[in-house]
Amino acid sequence: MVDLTLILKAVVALSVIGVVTSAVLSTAARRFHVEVDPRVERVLDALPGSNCGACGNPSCFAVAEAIVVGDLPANACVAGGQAVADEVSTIMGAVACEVAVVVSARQCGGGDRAARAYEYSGVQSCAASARLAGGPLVCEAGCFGFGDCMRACPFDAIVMDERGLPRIDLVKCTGCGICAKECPRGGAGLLRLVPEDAPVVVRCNAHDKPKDRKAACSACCIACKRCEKDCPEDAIHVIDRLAVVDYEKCTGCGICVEVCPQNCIDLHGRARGSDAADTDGVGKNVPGFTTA
Amino acid sequence: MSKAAFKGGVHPAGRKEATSGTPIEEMPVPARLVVPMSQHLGAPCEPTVEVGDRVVRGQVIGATDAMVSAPIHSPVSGEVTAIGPTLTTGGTRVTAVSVTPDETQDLASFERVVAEGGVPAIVRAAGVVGMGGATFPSAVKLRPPNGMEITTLILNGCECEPFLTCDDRLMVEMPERIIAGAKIMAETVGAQRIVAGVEDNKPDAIAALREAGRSAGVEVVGLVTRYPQGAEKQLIWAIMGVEVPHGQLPAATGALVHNVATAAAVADAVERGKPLTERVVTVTGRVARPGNYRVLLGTLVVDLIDHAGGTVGEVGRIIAGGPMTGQALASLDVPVTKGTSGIVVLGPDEAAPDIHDDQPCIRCGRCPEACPMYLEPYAIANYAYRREWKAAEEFHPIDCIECGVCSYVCPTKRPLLQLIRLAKATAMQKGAKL
Repeated sequence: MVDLTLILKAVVALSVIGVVTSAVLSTAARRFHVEVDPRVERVLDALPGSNCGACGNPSCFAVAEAIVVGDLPANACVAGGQAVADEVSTIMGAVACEVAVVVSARQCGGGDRAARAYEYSGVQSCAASARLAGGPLVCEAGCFGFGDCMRACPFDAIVMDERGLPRIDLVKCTGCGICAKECPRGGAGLLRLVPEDAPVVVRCNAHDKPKDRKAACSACCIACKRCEKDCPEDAIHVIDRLAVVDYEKCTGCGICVEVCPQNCIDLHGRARGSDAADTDGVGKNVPGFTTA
Repeated sequence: MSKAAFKGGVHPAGRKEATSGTPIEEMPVPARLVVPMSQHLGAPCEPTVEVGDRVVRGQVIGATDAMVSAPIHSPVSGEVTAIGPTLTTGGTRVTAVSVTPDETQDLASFERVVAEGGVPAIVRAAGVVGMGGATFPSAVKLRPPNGMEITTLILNGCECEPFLTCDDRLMVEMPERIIAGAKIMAETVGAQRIVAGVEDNKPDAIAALREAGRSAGVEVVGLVTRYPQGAEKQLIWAIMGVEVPHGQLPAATGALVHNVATAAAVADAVERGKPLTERVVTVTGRVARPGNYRVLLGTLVVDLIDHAGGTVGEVGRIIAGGPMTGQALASLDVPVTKGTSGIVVLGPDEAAPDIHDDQPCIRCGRCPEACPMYLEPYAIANYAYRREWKAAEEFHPIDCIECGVCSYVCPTKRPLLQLIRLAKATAMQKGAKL
């Protein structure tokens, strides 16, 4: 036998609780209502969403909020580049803004051609080895090759190649600059952000005496000034014993690449439609190389 | 009488027998000296001499106004021949003044230290720093922060590192200098009690100190021989029975710890006005004449090893300091400095095996068991390996005293200490304080 009053009591009791609670909740919802700008959600969708931190903010959500309230400009996302900036501008109804797109470039061609100062055994990390007598290389500017940059890259744009050097995939690279910050020698210029269409890159960043440098690494810039003399655009200069390209002037003719006796200037960049892998570390020995 | 020691620790083979009975021997003046401008923890000094200058023994050749620092004196009379960067035993590059000594040297005479402002000022002017290896400027420790009362001066004669015997010999041969220095320091800070802590594997040193310190009322305590008994916080625990609170100075416990060699240097500075220009270095392992040598600061390790008869047999690694905390040298053209307690020449079979970080942690729990600081080394190291610095910081890498016990006990030979040092450096970059 089922006692029907029992069921009745339960139904009534639950209904009363339901009505009271819903009244409280609906009042609370109205009284403590927070206006959420729907654009935050849309801006967040437009951002890459990898929370890379390259812009200096903790997450893409924080950036989206800051853009919507006007604390950050529409081109705040470093990694997103022009495409993201355009989309965010559209959402925000703002005037489209230009983004100077940069990519990371490795200014060292040493790798297995760089002389070692001592045998290193220990944590396979650049930061760890840098703490021991300044790192295992004789060269004071070269790449240790343990791949801290590769592990730090949020976009998987870096792989360590067989020479022990980081190879930067310019298609994946967003120019966020995290690799340069993680590299113990990044601040000195081993990894440097260059314009996206930088046509050439010098694979060396040492400033010590060319004689010492040559003893430390067979791949270095020897400051011979051949590139400086032959450049028709006056775009490459030996400054402080190192060839430095002025990307404002460089037209990408490739003459410096051709004349460099060390083969330490590489063709580079998305401009030529080539993957950096084709030109990395080979200088003028690129199949089909011609100066423009 | 042996006392209960601290929590954790290990018992590495002592290996001290080769040099513990060898009297301290003066090393002759070498042909060249390279005197680094930073031989201490804190701000480096600026050279106060120029190339071509004549210097006399004891003359200040490097100084700075920074609070935490110590001036550098010329160990010999001679001529400044170069000023430039040099590699140090610690693996950093610092400015150094190269001095070519005169042919005849009178090591008994020196330019006396002059300073006004009592004992701490003299100790500062004499360039005395902690000679156990940490090289913290001693004068700073002699001026405890306001409101901190020092009750006990602890003399650290533990010398818990394997191989090293320089402090042992100093205690045996000149205990009265050590006691004199201890009395000066105790008076300066107002400590009523002076205790010397010595590991019980050095009975001669304990007896010598007891004898010398009897009239001064110095207690000499034999401590359990266990590494790292000579670490400041572990020594305070063994002698006073109190822990140094996290983030606070040892002075918070009322204890002031000084190494025995530092005490002797303080006595020399205050009583004779002698600046710190030499120290005792144990040269041992695979050398022809292992021993304890009194070496002028700035002597190159290569010259020191030559003086000890050169290396014998095959050499794997040469370590500056003891094998637990010392660093393998990348070059022998590095100078002996105020913190260089030993040069240990190890054979290829004795040196630690090549450590690579590809072996996994097997969660055996030996490192937290052995850690004398109650840390979890495996956790810090694993997070550091994965570059999760924030997570690593939760496990307090800044409390690590870098004794190396974790790496010593790890059965898979993970480079735990190296990883913890990375995590510690990262945490300190973000502003964490020791």
